[in-house]
Amino acid sequence: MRSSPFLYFLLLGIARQKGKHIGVVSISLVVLFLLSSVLFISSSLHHTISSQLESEPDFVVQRIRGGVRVDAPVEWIDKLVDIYGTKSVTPRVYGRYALSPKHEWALVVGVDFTDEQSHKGLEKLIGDTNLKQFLKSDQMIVGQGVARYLKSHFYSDSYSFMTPEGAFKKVDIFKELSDSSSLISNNMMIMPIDLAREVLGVDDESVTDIALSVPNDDEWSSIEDKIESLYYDIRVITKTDVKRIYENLYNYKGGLFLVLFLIAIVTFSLILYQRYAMVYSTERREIGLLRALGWSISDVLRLKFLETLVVVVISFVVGVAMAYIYVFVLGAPLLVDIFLGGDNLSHRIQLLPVVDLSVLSSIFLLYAVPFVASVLIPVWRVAVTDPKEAML
Amino acid sequence: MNRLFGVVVVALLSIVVGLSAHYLSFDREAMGKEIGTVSQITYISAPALGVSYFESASLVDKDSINIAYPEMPRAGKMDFIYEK
Amino acid sequence: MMSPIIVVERLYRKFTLGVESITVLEDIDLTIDRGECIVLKGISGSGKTTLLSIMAGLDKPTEGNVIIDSESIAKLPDLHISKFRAKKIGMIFQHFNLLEHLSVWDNVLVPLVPMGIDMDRAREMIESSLALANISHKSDTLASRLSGGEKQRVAIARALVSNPEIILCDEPTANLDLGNSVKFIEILQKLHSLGKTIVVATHDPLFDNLPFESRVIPMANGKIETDI
Repeated sequence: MRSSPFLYFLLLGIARQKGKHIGVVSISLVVLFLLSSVLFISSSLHHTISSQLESEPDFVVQRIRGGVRVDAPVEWIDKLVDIYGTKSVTPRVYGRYALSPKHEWALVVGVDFTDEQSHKGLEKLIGDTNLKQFLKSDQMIVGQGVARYLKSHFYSDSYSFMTPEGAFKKVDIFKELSDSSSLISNNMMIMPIDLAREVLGVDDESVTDIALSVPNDDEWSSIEDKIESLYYDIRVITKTDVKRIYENLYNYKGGLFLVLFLIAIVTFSLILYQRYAMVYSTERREIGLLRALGWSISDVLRLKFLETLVVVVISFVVGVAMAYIYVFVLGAPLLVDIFLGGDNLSHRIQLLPVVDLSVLSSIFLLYAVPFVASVLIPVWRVAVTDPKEAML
Repeated sequence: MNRLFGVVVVALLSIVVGLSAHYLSFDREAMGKEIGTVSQITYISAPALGVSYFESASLVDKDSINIAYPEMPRAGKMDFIYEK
Repeated sequence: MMSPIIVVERLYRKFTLGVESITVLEDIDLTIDRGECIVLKGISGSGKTTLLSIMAGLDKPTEGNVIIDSESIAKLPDLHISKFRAKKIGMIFQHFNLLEHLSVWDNVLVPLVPMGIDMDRAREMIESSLALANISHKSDTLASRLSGGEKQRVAIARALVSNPEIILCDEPTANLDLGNSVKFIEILQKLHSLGKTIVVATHDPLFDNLPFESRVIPMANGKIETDI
């Protein structure tokens, strides 16, 4: 590419005002880094959880007493199976358990390994040969959060649960799940359903709730009505409800950050505008001189626009790159805890790299447009002034 | 001047290319595999408690509690009075 | 007979200050032939700088017309007048008006930047211009490190770089000592021999008797007194 005097002069101008540009780039980097990090974390979690929630049961049926969930009777399963349109009806036994000594909450999940789907899943997880080993005695599979907690409190390969009857029940750790599934399994303790009933105090005639699958979503509305009409104390949670709740939660937190960003960018623009509006006498003189030497208003504006664009692009690329590395390579330490529930077992969630181009474009426009306007408006005001006057 | 500009352009392009390579080569399947299996086993797909929004996010040093007195609850921890 | 390159017709320039109107130039009629050297002579406030600015297209007349090389510039839009100025006119200012933080070479480049030529051609033009002004040996020096006389020569080189037909000089020797003023006049003589049309606005008595053919036009109170 043959060099042009314009490009040479442009680069000369940028190099000459290194100090000013470095200052502006530094502030821009901080703003862009924070905003991009937040948006990356949010979109990654949103994407992963949204796709994960697709596997959520279509309906979850619970029993409610006084506004509070209680265990549901096993006979409800037969009633639900009889509803035309339901494909599978699965009882779930699970509950929170406060791990001593610090009362951190784990989720004890009972699994019926005679259920075909669960059986297949377990085979995939631990292999066919180990399956018999696992089911031979009281053993559990734990998530990474639980594993780390137990290790730090000197439980090496088992944990003694205190049952509701007041007895201790020792359960060995068969396997630890990896961090790749921490998003859902971080605080899980997966064990055979009978063992879970014993630990949680759920009798054989009860279940925590019941999961239903209804393949035809056109039938959801009518099936929901049918289920609700079965018993007075029944509550139906649909997959749509669950997804909407998480959507609202993400939008709420995302919205908060967006408001903060807008405030930051308005403040930043005002500072920039004030800074550039001063257009020091030397710069004013310089613009007047360029005009006197045959530069048109559009030539002057083009130079300043490109100078600013270089700063904007460098700040944007470096800021977003730093955010990407911070979030998707380093795991966003500190910042991710603001998004996630930190007041429980520690987690090391792997954030799936998700880059939403529309969001990135919005960030760029929200940052670049006020910045360029803050620079160009004062320059334009000087450029349209009589060159003689500007040179005074 | 042109050389410096060239270096900056090359650096920026390298950053973009490097990160694009990381993004495209990331093994998404591996990440989703174990989650899918756990979900298949437990019939639970919702995020774990520790990663949910409804628990307060606190950066208080968790080791500040004296483990010799495990019954002492942390200040502000009220969930024992609420239904689990 | 030479053809006219600058024609000023019934020119008025008035400034409004509140309700008052101040006439800086009144009924100026002037014809300058191609290759001529004109000295606009007058004390400060006589209107010679304003007339020069209007000829350069840096200012617009209130009434009247200015025709430069058959083009009426009084009502040209900014883009056209800028291009016209870049191509046809070289300006030398009283206070040199260099960009102090740039080198001599970079200062002389400035008028060529918006012209859209390539760097090799620009380099040729700059080097030839620096040689003409006898300042090539300082091409890498920062403008802030030059003496008054050297700065004036850089200003000359900058004014000549686009090979304009017309050179306008506003009080070119106001900030020079006698020695440098004489050197400046020698350069003007060289330019005159190259066929450039030169207009100098000055009150320096050195310009009363230039060593080459020239015409002195005295100005006072915004009017031309007598065209000698």
